[in-house]
Amino acid sequence: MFIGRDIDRIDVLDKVLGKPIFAYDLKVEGMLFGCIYRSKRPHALIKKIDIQDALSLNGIVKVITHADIPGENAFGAIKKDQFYLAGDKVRYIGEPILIILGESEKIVRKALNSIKVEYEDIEAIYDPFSSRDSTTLIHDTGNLLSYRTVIKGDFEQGFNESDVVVEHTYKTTWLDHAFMETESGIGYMDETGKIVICSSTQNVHYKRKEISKLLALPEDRIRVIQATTGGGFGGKLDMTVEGYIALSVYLTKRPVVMRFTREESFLSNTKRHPLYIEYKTGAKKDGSINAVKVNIIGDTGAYISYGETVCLRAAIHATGPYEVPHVFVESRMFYTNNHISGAMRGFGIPQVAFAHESQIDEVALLLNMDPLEVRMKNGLRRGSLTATSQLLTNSAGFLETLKKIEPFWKARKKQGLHTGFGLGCMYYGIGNTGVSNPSSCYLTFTDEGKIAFHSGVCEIGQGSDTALLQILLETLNVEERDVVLLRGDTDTSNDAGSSSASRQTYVSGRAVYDAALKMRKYLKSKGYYDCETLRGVCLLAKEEGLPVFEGFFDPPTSPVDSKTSQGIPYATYAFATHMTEIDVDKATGFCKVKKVHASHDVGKAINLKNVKGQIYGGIAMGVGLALMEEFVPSKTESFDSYYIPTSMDMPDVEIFIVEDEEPTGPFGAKGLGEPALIPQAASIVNAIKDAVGVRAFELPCHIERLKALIESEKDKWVE
Amino acid sequence: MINDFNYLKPDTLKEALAMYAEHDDCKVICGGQSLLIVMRQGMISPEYLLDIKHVTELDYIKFDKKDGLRIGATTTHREIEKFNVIKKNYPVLVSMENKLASIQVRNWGTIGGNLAHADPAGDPAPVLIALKANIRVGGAEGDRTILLEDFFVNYFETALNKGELVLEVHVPPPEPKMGAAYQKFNLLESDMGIVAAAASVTLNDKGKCKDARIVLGNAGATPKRIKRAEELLIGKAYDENLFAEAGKIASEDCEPVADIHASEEHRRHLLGVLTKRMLKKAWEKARS
Repeated sequence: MFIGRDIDRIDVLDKVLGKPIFAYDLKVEGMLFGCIYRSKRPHALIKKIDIQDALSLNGIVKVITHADIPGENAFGAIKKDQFYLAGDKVRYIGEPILIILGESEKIVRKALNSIKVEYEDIEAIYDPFSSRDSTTLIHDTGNLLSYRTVIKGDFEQGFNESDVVVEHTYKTTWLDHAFMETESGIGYMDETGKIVICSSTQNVHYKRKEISKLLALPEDRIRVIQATTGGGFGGKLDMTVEGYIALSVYLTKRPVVMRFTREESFLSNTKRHPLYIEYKTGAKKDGSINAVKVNIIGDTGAYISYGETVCLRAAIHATGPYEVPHVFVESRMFYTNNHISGAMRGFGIPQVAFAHESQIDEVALLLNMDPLEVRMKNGLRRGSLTATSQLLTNSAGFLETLKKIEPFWKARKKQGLHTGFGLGCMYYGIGNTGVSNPSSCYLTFTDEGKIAFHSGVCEIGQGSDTALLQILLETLNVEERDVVLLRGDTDTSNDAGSSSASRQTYVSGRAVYDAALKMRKYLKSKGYYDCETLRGVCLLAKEEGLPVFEGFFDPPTSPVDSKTSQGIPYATYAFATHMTEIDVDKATGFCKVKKVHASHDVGKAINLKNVKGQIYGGIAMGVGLALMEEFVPSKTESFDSYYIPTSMDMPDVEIFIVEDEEPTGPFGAKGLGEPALIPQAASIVNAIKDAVGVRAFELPCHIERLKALIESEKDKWVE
Repeated sequence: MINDFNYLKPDTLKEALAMYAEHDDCKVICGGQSLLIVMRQGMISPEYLLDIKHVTELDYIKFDKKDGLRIGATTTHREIEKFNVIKKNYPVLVSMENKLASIQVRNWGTIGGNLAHADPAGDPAPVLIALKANIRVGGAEGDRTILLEDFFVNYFETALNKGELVLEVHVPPPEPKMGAAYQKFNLLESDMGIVAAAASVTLNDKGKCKDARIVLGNAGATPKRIKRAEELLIGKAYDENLFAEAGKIASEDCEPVADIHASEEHRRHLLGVLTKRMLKKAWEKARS
């Protein structure tokens, strides 16, 4: 039995011994170092670029401009709107303009300072409201990137029928992924003339496609390999170093390395979308939520990245894990001249969870009901209709997650003067929104008589290698030593899609299961499950020309309606409840997160230890989102000016697993990566309200903000 | 990126002082926990690094009831933290070291390096000043002892003359009926303090305040004594209002600077709160 076991990750021993070579550590004989020269202006026309001084430096080999690009100077996960190298215009501080290549990192970094660019400034737009009202256009298509609505029932009627109405505005800010390893990679031309890129990434096949367009080369002339990767969280989905390295290798015919400093990483990588959320909730006396009206305004920055995805996903999830008959959600994403916001763990849902969980607590307060009871009353369950009128027929264990927490909630007791307890809940659609997002893989045999598992899934620290292997071993009934994993290489795997949207265990896991079933049938036919050895089967297979067993899965979804977003955006949903205990120091504004009880419906825990690991990490990130993390454009440069919790700041965590099995998932599994984070910040905000009577409407609720809130409510205090 | 430098590795103190006198544009490195950061950020790029890690003469902790405590400059934070005699006689030093960065940093960082770096957010200085510590410094020409509070001149600037090294920290013997306390305010457990306060209180036979020290960290260019508040306490009996008053003075007299982590206003407020709390704590320790 491999499913549900607490086995160690297959990479854990090597990692603690420091053996794996991360992208940042890769070296090739004779490599050039590459650096990117970036815009120092937020919005400007480029008038002149002077590279002569840089070129005259001893050791500088080449300076690449947009004019050197042989193919298309455009990339983007959703739409190809972003330039590898800016030509006539820059739209944010940090936008790439040139690549400088030299014999050493030192000389290249020195050369950065001798580049002279003349700009003609254009009015810069720094917030989505100015963007909406301004006549200055960031792109010719206008400043509105995306407008989505979710319409179910009749919200006006819904509010008319409601006994109480709660209306508030919530605000969040930019966050950095803060992965441990900054963006890095190497590239070289192999003996066949193929351009090989080895980088720190969350996907390989997508990047091969982009490089093929960039260099105007067929995809089979390009190979992308995932190096051991030190974290992603959405920040390594977009092209980071890969295109620049490929272009440099193509133009110089020499190996090239690129490694971003932490400062470059903060400056150049996408951020979590700041969302402005106007939220109105109508409820009846009995606590049932009758109507929800939400208006979301987001800042996507200078280019799209995943802005459209976040716009729609936030709208769809705006009601939270509750059944609401009347829903009206508007969601708009505007361009600005800020940093590009993109994919970051949760795709906008940690932000909306902050809003809907605050709202539901306020409803409970108004009705003098227990917040857990209100959640229980409205929670999605089998037979519920979601905000997109999707009927939940399977795997909807939300109420069970609440029930796991209920005894602790009822027994909660304030230890200190300003102790508080808060609940946070969430649901999250697994996989991409209303679009096909398939995964494929294949199995065959090796010359050594083993099973070769060819996987395109990028292991970014989340544990996918181990989970997928467990699914394979369970299905084939073989041992770990019988399998060789060949992973994250476009030459040896099929496209599994990105490691994002909490989709790999669910989508790729099912594809592995599919391939394994086919191989299992073959093994059976060759007598493996009777008396034949695996080596024996391999010999027979070799004689048959090594059969290949392909696995495939595309979650059954349907595109949502363009006006109402009604439809089946996701094949399955994860659910969770967190209860958090905090202590607030009223005099200083310091909030200490003491204990979290976290309960998650994961469908089926393939690996309990990994499930717990994800939840610990999610909670840490949620503490940061709630209390500390804030990227301030032009001020935040590195960890010196960006607070993020460390292991020493972790609260105690107790985890409860609900396994309401998902029939389309492998052995019933769903996804967990993002759900682990989503409810955490919301539960902290609710705990603060419980502790000191003030509600945070803006995140992070850092010390000074909390202190100011406490001060503003001082008159109402009774000590 | 760290610029290239010449590496000097003396084996004895005499050799170290001679080399230091000989080379211009030379920085002293021992644990490197402060220096490497500023070098990596490109803030300084010295031509020479003098590594005194192997000068074992400066690696010691000595305690004598009459003379007090003497700690050699290259003693690591971790050694201080783990030294039982210090724990018994100067518990505040151990509790301060316990919260100084992380174990990894404390394993390398040294007391001499920390003080010589003169970061106003450094943890040891306010505590040592509250304990009336001296610092012995010396060069090829000889050594001298100065009050630690006079050692700090400005941001990252000390009273060390060219060619002088920090040799030793000396803390006078613990007085009876003396209590001390230190707390930094930080959002992250292992971080530098946004602000910090140390207090020591010595009581007379009648239980009234005989002597007091209040020293603030990261509240200006150097560790800052709040003498106006110290004077207020002399001769007074335990009184929470008195501590609040001292806290108020501290928030008035401090000179913190705003940065991305906290505004000046909030820092003043925090320094007031910490002063009040540390005085109370120190007093209660002095009583017990």
